[in-house]
Amino acid sequence: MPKTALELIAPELQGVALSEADIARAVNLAAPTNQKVKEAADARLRFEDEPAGYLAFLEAEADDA
Amino acid sequence: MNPMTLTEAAAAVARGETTSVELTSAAIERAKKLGPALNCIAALDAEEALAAAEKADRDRNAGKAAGKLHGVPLAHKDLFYRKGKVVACGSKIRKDFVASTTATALKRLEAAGAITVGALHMAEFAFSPTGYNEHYGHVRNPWNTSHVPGGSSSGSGAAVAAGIVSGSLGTDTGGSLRHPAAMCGLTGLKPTLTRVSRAGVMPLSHSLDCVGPLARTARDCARLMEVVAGADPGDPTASGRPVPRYEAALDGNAKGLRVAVPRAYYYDAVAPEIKKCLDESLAALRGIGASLVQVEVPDMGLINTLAHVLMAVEAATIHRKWLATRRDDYADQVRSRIEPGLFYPATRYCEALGMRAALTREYLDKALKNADVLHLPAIPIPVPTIEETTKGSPADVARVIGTVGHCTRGINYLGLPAITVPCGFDSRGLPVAFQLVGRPFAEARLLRASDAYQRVTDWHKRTPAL
Repeated sequence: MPKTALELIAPELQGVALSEADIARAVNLAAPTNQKVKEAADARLRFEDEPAGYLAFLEAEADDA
Repeated sequence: MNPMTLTEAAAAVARGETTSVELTSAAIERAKKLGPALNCIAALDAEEALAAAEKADRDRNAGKAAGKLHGVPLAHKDLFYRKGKVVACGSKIRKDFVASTTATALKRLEAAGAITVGALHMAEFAFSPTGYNEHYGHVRNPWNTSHVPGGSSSGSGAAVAAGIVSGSLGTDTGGSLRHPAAMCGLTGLKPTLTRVSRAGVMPLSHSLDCVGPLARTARDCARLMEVVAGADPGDPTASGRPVPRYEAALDGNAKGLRVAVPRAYYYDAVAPEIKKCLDESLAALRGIGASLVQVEVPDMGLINTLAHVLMAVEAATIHRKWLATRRDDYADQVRSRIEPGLFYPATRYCEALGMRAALTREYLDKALKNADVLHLPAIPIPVPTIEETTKGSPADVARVIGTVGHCTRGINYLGLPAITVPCGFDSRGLPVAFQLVGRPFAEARLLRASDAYQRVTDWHKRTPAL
């Protein structure tokens, strides 16, 4: 049976040999997670939401009491 | 047994009521006596510790006390690098790794006079919320050795609860410091992301990892935080914000403190006997002048998912070469948590990072808009037995392990500070704790509220019969 792109990622791109069972387990978790993150990003992520802004955000929201 | 707290020990040395040698010898003896049964000691450096204690006593007698921890013996999770020492990180892979530097946090403790007596056992590469370690065996909970101590800073929880040392540094990526503190009847503070330097600490996930203290009291944690927090050239991400005088802020006053109590999610999995203790802790907080506010929280399912993506991808990046070359040297339970990180595209990872500020703002707006702190369960279920977390169907084991981190892991994605405070015991005699979460850098407020609570309760004073 042909493998999906997701199943090929780890063995071919990352050089980590995984058993069929390991791949199935990881893909079973990763596939719905990828979908959930994509949907959330489609709905929420704005162009200006850069990861680098996060630490500055924490500093700006500081509770100094 | 009723050992001195960390601040009591420091005061006793300062006043000459005891010596560092006496305290350090007692810590070493107790480690030898209780360490094997609890399996909490990774390395004991008795000779060096005693030499350092003798020097501390000489310095004190010469009027040259080093600082706030002068002469106090401590030990820390075995992932803090100590120059020239093996730092195994609970793993088979790093069992012979000798550190070439010392972690900034440890350097600061020693500069303040602390004596390092050794290193404490932990979950493999800090991966387990229960403390599970297939290679070196389970650390045991001092309250009942058939129960887990919580992890991944399992040895820290066990060693402090057993009175071997009065305080310890742990790390927290999804609850790894709060779980053992809560399960062992201790106070544990996960600071704001970047508040404490991570230089010289084996990472699990640099977007989530935090260094923080476990000790008997909020006051002890305040003392340790004041020493270790602050900017560090060795860790460019460490916040340059001035470090407050945490201990001086402990005025016992909770009047006017607004405590948010969430309705959904955090109470979804809470066992009735845990809820009873939580309700009593809220009543105690009200009794000292706090007011309670019911609040909603955002979709924690999404936040937990994003935390998982960051952790899995960053861990897979750190471990990829070992996964390729030393696959069989990982426990299955650990490897199976890392491997999914190989299957997330970089776009998903960057999206998970990119949504962080907006989701944290949403969380603060919902949960803390009209409150100063958020009161949550620490662990929603009674402390499980080792058997409950290792035997039975994989689904049952996964459910128990997943529930342990139900109330902690999302907080790391948000980067917020959180403290766990003992508030009772379950029907099997194991500790129960609540958790207070604050706005970024609200450590002083969390410590003050916890200290005020501990002035009118005695849960933190109870010690296991050993």
